[in-house]
Order: sequence, then C-alpha cells, then structure tokens
Amino acid sequence: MELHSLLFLAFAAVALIAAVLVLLSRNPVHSVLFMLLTFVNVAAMFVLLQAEFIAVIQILVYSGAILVLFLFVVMLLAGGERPLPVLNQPLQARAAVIVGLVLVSELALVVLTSTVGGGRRGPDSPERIAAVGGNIEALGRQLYTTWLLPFEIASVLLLVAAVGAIYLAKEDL
Amino acid sequence: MQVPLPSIDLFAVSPLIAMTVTASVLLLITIFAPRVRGAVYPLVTLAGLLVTLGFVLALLAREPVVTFSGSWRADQFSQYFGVTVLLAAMLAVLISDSWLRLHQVSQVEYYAVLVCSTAGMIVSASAYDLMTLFLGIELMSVPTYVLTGFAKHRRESNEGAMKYFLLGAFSSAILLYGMTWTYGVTGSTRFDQIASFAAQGGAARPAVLLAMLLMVAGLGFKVAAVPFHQWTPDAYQGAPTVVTAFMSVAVKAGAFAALVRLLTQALPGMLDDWRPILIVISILTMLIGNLAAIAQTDVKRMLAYSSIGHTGFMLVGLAMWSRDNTLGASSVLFYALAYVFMNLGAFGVLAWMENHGGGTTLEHMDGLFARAPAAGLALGIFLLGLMGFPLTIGLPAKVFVFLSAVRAGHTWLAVLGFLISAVAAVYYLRVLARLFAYEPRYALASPRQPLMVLGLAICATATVVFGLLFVPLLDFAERAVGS
Repeated sequence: MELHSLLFLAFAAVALIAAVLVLLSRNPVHSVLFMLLTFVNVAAMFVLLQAEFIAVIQILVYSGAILVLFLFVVMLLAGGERPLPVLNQPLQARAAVIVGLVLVSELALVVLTSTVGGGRRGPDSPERIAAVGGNIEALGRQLYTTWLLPFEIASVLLLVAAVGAIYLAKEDL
Repeated sequence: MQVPLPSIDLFAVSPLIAMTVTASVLLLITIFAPRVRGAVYPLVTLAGLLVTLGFVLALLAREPVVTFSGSWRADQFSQYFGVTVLLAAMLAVLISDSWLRLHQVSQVEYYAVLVCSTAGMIVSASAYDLMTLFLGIELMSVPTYVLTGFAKHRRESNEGAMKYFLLGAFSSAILLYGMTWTYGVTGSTRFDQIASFAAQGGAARPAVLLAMLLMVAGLGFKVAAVPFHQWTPDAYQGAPTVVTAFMSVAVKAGAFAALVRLLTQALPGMLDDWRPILIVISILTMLIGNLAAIAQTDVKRMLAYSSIGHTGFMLVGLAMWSRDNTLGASSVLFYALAYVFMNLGAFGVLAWMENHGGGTTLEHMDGLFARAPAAGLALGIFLLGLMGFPLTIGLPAKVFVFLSAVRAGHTWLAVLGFLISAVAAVYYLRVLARLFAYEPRYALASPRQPLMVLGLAICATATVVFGLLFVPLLDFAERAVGS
C-alpha cells in the first residue's frame, strides 16, 4: 500500500476514534476538544483528496469559529462532569447497539462486495479542475453557474434560521 | 474572463421568488414601519401567497421545463404540490390570526417563517437534483422547528420543538448520507442521470440500494412513517394547535412530493427493491398509527397518531406505483390535497376551541354541537372525512389508494387497508358521539375571530364539495403524475 493511502487510513482512524471519544468522555470540555481533533483530521483527509480549499474552510469555519462557540457554551453552562447518557437507558442502549451493528454490517457488506469500482465517475476529474486553474477557481465556477439556484436557496435557509433563532432566544419586546 | 452561465428560466422559479420576496417584505415592514400593527401582516402574507398561486397557475399552462442546469423542474407535478401547499399556507394564515392576537405572539416572525417553510415545500416539489432537494427539505423543516416552539413560554411547546429539532437534524443527516452515497456511486446528483445509471444495474447495485434505503429512511422521518415516527405525537401535541394544523398537512405534502419524485423519477429502475420496503413500512404505519390513536384521551394527540395512520395509507399508494399503474402516485397526490382540507380543518376547530377557553381532551368535546353548532358541525365533517365517510373527500382519497393496490395485483393490501380504516373509525366515532350526543360540560367564551371562521368554513365546504366533485381533482393529479 502506498504512503498516500496509509496516511489517509491513519487520519480516518484517528478521526473515528476521536469521534467515539466525543460521546464517551465524561467532561463536556473534553468532548469538544475531541471534536476538534476529529475536525482537524477530516481536514487532513480533504488535503489528501486534493480538496485544499475545503480543508482550509474546515479548519477556519468548523475548528475555528463553530467549535470556539461550542466551547463557550459548554464552559458557561455545564458544571462539572456529566453522567454517560448511554448508560442511563439500558433498553435504548441495547436497541441502539443492535441497530448500529445492522447498519455497520450493511455498510461493510456493500463495501466488501467491491461495488465501488462499479460506480460512475463524476464529471469533475483532476484534469478538468487543473484546466480551469485549480481548486478554488473550479469551486467558484461551479458554485455560481451549475449550483446557482441551490446556492441562493441556501441563503434563504440561513436567513430563516437566523430569524427563528433570534425569535426563540430573545426576551419579549 | 468569461464564465458562461447556465440557461436560466426565471419564470419557472417565479413561485420561489414570489415567496422569498413576501418573506423579505414582511421582515422589512417591521424595520421601516415599526408602528404598524394589527391586520397588516396576515394581509401581506395572504397577498404574497395569492401572487405565488397566480404564478403557479400560470406555469400550469406551460410545457415542463428543466432549468438552472438541471436543478429545477417546473412541471405539472411541481405545480400540483405548489397549489396544495399554498392552499395549506393560506388556510393556516386564516386560522392563525386570532391565536397570534389573543396570545400577543410576534406576528412578523410567525408569518415570515411560515412563508419560508412554504417556499421550502415548493422547492422540494420542484427539485430535480439531490442538492436542491436537500435544501428544499431543510428550508421546509427548519421553519417548522421554530414554529413548533413558537409558544416559547409553554413547556410542552419547547419540549416538542427540541425533540422535533433533534430528530429532524438526525434524519436530515441520514438523508444526506444517502445522497452522498448516491453521488459517489452514480457520479451525478441529477435525477435523470441517477435514473439512467440505476437502470443499468451491474456491480454497483448494492451501493445504490443502500443509498436508496438511507434516503427513504430520512424522508420517512419527515412524513412520520413507522418506525421513524417517534417525534410526531410530542411535536404535534406540544406545538401551538394552529401550527400543528399547518405542519401536519403541509410538511407531509412537501415530504411526499420529494419522496414520490425521488422514487418514481430518480429510482424507477429500483422499483422491485423499494416496493417491498414501502409495503412493510406502510402496513406498520397504518397499524401502529391507528391503534395508538384509539388509546388516546386527548383529541389533539389522537389526531397526531391518526396523522401517522394517514401516512400509512398514502404510502400504500406510492408502493403500488409502476409505469403501468400511475394511479398509485396520483392517488398519493389526491390524498395529500384532500388531507389539507380535512386535517387542517380538524386541528383548526381544536384551535378555535382553545381560543374560546376550551381544551382538547375528550371531555371538552362533549356537546360542542349544542354549544356552538357551526363549530361542532365543522369538526363533525372533518372527522367524517378523515374516517373516509361517503360524501366527504376522505372517501375518494382512500378508495383511489386501495384501487391502485387492486390494480397492482395486491388485493390483500387493499383489504388490509380497508380493515384498518374500519378499525380507525372507532376513535373518530367516539369523538363524534361526544360532539353530538353528550351534554355540554364546559362553557366557551366568545372572542371575535372572523378570519378563522372563514378558514374553517372554506375547509368544511371543500371537504364536502370535493367529496362529490372529485373527478377534476383526480384528473389534475393524473396529469401531474404523467408530466
């Protein structure tokens, strides 16, 4: 196996383990920090996939902005250690384990029957991305031509989410 | 540097533009005319919805068009659901007005959020690729989370909103995961290209199957199908009743639009795989929704469970769809529109009673007809409709669904559905008996709420009139499916 794939697997493994630890740590601050570790590893995976721009955004927006907010909220609200939510509901925990195992085995079945090679490649090959001048250029072109309408709809979605959040959070005027 | 734009047909997206303009105008009124009070907001909202309806009806006359490089498809199907959700939104505005005024709830945010949710439903019905579809589903759902928690000083409202939000976010993640699988395997997010790839089959078939399962599960949450229904009773009961009235019919219509288009236009080649899944889900949904409804003592919660049951009936129709049996899909469309009048009306009468100081438990239904004949009669009509009684729109809705099952050769499913709807009649009849035969137990105040009375009158009239004249509606649904 070449170095590239090995690195990818290593980053993926760390990201996964950190994601599990987000759920299992008793201290909420630790959870947030493990989440940070997950996000940084995901960013590294994006770099390996030659999606440098997405990697930078991942670090800036998720690791930088959003997780800092998380950390603020956790530090302001949470006092001390929390009980593990998983262990409080034995019935739910058992059902979750069973459903989770079924889902994982389904995924494993699909991946192991080697169907990935049977898929069809998307139109954006590395050559085409290089032809328009690189990652950011290709993304910008796509966003404002092919994906123009979804882009605009996303702006409406953000607007209504902001209006709703402000309404629910504000004191009555 | 020249970047060629894709072909853009603004007329095709005019309903969406009109809706976002309406929402913006509503928000801007408060900024530039903060002293404006009273009837302005519902009137502006209604005007915006009417203009949008005008665009939708104008688009009906056009040939189907795919624009914005395949993101948007304006055809009879999207216009059918456009009409459905716009009617639901207009009726919701009519019945919400008095609740907002009586509880002095902020009107601007309410109507702006309602309009955005309706815009999301229009997007879900018109989306022709997975990205647009996902954003449409989110634009439809996020406002309804806010609306559920709109009575923000009531504990149940907060609880319902929280549950709805968390499970909704979870289901969106599942839906999105299915979409990434679809893109990863088929190399495209456009419905027609997914369809052409899925039709080939080959080595990638299991992966497409997995993607399809994940997407059906994600949309199953939104339509409240068993086993993805757990949020429904709490969210529907916790939400302000006028909100429940809107989201129980409109979100269902929007999510069914997405489901029908996804399965019949992007994955028709997988019919043999999704049909058995949908049959199992539909049977579970019909059984659990209707059986759980019998045990309820609160009519609002009972209607929440009954709404799960109705999802089951609609899923029967969708499961029976095939290229030769389009009645399967058109019966779902017909049901969605019929459901708007019946269910929005039923929840509307409950909201009317709450506004008058009444409650929603069974005891509060006692003698409503003697106390307030019009309200009692209206609720009676809606419950008969939901039951599937002759002379209401509920009967043809159910009959077409079961007829499609018979045509597809699954007569047993039609018989089963008929038996379950007969069992379901028990809990509707229980309320009906209390409405008409019992002695009144609670006094009702009488605030003036002309818009709500108008809204409920429209619902009741439509339930009865379309119960007789259902053929034009079915024709419309047939044309929508055929386009």
